Amino acid sequence: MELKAATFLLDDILYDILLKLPTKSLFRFRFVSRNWGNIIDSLSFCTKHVTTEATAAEEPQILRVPFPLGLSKALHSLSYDGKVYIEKWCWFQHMHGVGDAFLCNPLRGEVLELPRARIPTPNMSNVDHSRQHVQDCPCGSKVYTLGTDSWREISSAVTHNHLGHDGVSAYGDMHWLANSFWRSPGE
Amino acid sequence: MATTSTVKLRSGDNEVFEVEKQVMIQSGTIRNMIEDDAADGEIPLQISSRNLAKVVEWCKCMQHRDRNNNNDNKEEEEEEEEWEKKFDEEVSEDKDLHFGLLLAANYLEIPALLHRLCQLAADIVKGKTPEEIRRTFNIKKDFTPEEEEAVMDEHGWAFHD
Repeated sequence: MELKAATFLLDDILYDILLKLPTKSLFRFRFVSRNWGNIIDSLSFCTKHVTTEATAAEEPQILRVPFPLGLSKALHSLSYDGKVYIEKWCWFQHMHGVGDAFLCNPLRGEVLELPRARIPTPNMSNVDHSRQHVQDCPCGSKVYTLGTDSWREISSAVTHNHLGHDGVSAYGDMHWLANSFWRSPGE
Repeated sequence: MATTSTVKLRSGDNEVFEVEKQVMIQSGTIRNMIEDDAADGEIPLQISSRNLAKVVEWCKCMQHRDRNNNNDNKEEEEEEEEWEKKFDEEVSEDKDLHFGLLLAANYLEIPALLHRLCQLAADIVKGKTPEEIRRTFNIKKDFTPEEEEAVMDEHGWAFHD
């Protein structure tokens, strides 16, 4: 084992190293070899990578796209603040009309359309580390849970519905500024 | 019957390291042996003396740090930080040592050391190209030129800053 140490690493170890890499590096490293590609593309790796603390702190976890963006493969190079950010999970919602919400995982090139939450004109959303999505409206908030593919009502921490549209992502959470002069699009 | 307070570790090249059990229980593999009373003789390990010495040194430093966690000795704290920094540098500059320690930490089941070494490896490879990675890890390219071209067409953006 020792003699070959410099020439190969066990897949277990490789897996642990890859987990600590940012998404952009992983995109390149899929093409190192078939073995690397298989590890990076595996569902277990992808799921773990999304929730790994080191990567979560380094990369923004959420991205709002201002207007209908075709659900094409172009998702992987979303432009944001003049820089290209690669999002692990992007959430976006059309700014006008009733919100269609999509969950995307660029690393796997997957897009999931979330079912409509039956609440009037959602104007706020939030994503936390457990990958639950909150929509706020004048009458309450609902949480979308991936596993059950459904919305359920929660007691909202936000009592005010006048929130700015442009949230800021920091350390995996989305933050909005509330202001009483702003109106939600439905009003 | 655990009669002594030390364990003897024999490296792959037959060097024997006598280390306090308290230090080596950071290794899941050794801890199991101690608990099973299987650690009274020498424990043969497929790890070179150079790498084993480094592992033992690391375990000693960590145990020392944990033991002193409660007292606020600034000087010792700085010393330990200095040691860790030196460890990181030494490992980062020496691929054979780095890979050898990764395998040793994995085999000996020392999660904290493995975590540290993986983080160092990630920091090193982060900005590399696939070709550089192949050279570093001695990996043979198993994609056809056509496949590679298709990749560059679709994911070229990931190859630029």
